[in-house]
Amino acid sequence: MTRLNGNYMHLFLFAIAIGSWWLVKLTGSDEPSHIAVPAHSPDYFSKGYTKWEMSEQGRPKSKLIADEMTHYSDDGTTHLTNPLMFFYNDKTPPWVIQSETGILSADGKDLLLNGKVVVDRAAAEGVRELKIYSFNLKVKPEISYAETDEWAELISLPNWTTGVGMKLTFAEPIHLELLSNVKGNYETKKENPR
Amino acid sequence: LESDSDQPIIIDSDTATYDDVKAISTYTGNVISIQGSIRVNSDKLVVYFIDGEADKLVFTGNLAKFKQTPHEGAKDIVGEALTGEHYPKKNLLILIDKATVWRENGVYSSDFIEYDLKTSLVKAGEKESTNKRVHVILQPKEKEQPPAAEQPAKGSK
Repeated sequence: MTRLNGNYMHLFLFAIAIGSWWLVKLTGSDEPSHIAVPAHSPDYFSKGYTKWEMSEQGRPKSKLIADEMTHYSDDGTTHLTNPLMFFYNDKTPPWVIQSETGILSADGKDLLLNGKVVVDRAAAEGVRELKIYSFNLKVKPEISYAETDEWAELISLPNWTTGVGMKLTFAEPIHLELLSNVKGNYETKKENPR
Repeated sequence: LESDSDQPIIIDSDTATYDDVKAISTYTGNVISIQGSIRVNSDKLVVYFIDGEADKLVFTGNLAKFKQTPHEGAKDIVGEALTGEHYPKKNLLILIDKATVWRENGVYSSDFIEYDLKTSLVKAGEKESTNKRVHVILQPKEKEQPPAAEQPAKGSK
């Protein structure tokens, strides 16, 4: 095989470089890979998610548990699967709110609970157990407030009350309002005849 | 009716609020509360609970009205007042201010009437105060028509 002297070697290497540059151009694989990222795509997520929030006094203020938590970079929302929230009060048992799915706004001020929602507050001294069934509840965690335009049922056995539209403040003083079509049902037991 | 006090109290209204600490429910707007044959129509109804039971119901209206069927087949007893207090466990209804009860042939008016939902007994006025004056009208019972046979034949002298 004939040996190439100095000049021809440079020429040969130069030709190879041009050729490979041309091939790269041909295949178009030199541009950075611009895979089309869908607009609303998550930037981080978590499975088996738990978040505790403490009050200034260092006591539990709220707790959020979800099967799955997904955060989206474009609008900053956090999507939750089977969220279960605990809102703690000093004097009464926590309010426990759960739903099928939930969306927390970017600033964390608004939480939309979609589908069937169950609100539960255990009995304790001075207060009775309270269970509320409703749908599509809008919660404002910071001010312990929730509302819905949908049907709501308030059960405090043996009594129950239903209505359409509800406003609930679940921090002291706890207050609940049913906005229309209200129907109450109270069982009575005779006590002492006069 | 005898069984009224064993029936649940069912309330319909436009809106309602529930105060957890005071254990009070307040119903407002076209409020209808029914317990057996007892029916109360009012503008507002406040239910006070003791141990989860409706202990006292205070209704207000202009005027709030109530009715009850004392027993099967009997004529309804009807009443009205600015304020009323219903004590389900004591079978007691107290009508206050512009209170009137129509019972059989009697009309009882006063600013304070106690009506026993079990015995249909009406007690109007208050012993302690003279300003709860009582006004009673007792209609004479309609004369019973003599049976047809004894009636003189028409046209005969």
